[in-house]
Amino acid sequence: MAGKRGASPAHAAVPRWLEVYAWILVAAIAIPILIVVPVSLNPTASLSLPSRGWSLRWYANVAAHPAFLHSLRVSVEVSAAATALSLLAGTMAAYVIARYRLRVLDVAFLAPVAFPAVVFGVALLIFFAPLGLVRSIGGLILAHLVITLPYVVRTMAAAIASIDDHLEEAAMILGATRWRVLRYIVAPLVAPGLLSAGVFAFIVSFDEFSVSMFLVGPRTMTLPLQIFNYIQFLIDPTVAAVSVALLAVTVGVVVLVERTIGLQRYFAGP
Amino acid sequence: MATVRPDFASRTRDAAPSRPRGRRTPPAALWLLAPGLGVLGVLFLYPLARVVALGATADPRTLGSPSSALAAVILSPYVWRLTTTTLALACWTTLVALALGYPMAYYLVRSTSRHRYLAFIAVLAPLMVSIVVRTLGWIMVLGTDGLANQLLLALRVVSRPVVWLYTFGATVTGLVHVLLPFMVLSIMAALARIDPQVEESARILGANRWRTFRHVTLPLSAQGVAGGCALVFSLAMGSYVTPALLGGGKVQVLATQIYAQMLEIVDWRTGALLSLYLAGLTLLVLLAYALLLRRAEAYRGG
Repeated sequence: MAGKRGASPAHAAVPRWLEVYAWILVAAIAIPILIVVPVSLNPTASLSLPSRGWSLRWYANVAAHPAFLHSLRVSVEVSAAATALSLLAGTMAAYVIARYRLRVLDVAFLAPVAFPAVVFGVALLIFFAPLGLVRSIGGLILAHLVITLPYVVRTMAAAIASIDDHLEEAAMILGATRWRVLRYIVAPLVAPGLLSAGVFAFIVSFDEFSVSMFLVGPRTMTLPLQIFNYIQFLIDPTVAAVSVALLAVTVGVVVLVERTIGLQRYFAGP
Repeated sequence: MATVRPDFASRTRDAAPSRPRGRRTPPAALWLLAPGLGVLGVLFLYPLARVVALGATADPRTLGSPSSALAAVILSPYVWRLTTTTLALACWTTLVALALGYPMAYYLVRSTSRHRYLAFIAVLAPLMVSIVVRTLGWIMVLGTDGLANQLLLALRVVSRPVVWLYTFGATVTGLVHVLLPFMVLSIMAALARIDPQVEESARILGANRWRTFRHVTLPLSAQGVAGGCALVFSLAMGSYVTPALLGGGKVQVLATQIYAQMLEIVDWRTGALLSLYLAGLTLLVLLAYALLLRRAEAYRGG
């Protein structure tokens, strides 16, 4: 990786202080995320690093709270359904956007990302209430479908645009129907993009908070909201233990993505 | 890991070769857009229109006109206080994120260190960690018996725990942590687009590292800085979790008040008006900002 850059004196290296700064900042970013691991092992009820031994009592406490497990189920259901629907609708739209370069639509599909989530949550609450969709899994899935759609369209449009469309043309000239072209040419080529978009959509949905908070009910509480509600009443290392579980899922996904597609493609972002 | 060079700059439109065939849209493919556009229309635009409609209905109690109702909500001293707190929070968050993020983006794009990739992941991976977990982490760092106080007490720097939690500063800290990746990404994209030869030329012509940065790199990355600031600002304006958890009721912003209006006070009309106000305010600041940038650009160009 150093090859081309290393050869030019202007880019030989960054100043030493900048390197030191970068690693201090990395530590400052990582510590508040990783701190939940030692705190979750604290034998006492304070949110501090364990000083006298460690214990797994807070993990046992999580298991004793069926609400957390129930929320995990709700979250997985909502995210899986929203991701599936989003991949379907988003990939179809992305195909048209990428192949016919419709820039206006490209921007239109990104709108929900830039819009204040709280305002969108209010809008959905007002819209869903008379339809009976508030506090229902269905309402949450529809909300998450809108939230994840921009990420899917963006990722899939990039993936589809990177495929040489001569391939499709050649197949058509050779007599393949539109369906066969999609099935045998386009589908295998966009598969990695589909995986990447799917994982991204799932994580965005799984972590979503500001819109969901207007739509959840006692039986349909997603995991981030369950943690939030728990700390409203009591702050003890139980939430640290839940956070470690969430973190483990994220780390697993990040490693998986890094091994299969590479992380950088990932953060094309809004 | 063949390439570390960030390629965020490559966009959909640059990738496809330009050929006349692609410019026409055959009607056969258009139906593919239907589900996506349907979702946007029914689940995004229509609900927003409902908010506007609800905000525009007359107050059932006073039967006053919608515009006077809006004025009454916006001009109340309480909402004014929320507005100044929200704006201050968003501005401070943007400034701190810019100050911390620019050197980081520069390092990530320009460093030749083998470990740079690790730093890149460390900066961006937090995007995939739930915002509740990240904010909770700050409670564990800044709390009275948290990590920072444990350290300071152990080193005998202080004799009793410092109170950081539930302050404006703690809220800014948490928000910067949450939004920094967006700033870094945006600036990285701009820095990666700069042709290294331009900087090299400046160096060859005798400019030192600082002058090269000041007169070549910085102006060329201005677009990324502007984009990152706009994104971080608008996300900070609408933030709820961080002020609610790290502000601990002491940092009241528009978003927390909107939540209270909708679900605690259950006054949806006022909630809708406040939502429109927040969206409008964010848009207004961003428009003014865009205008100012254009003015500055024209000034520099002329």
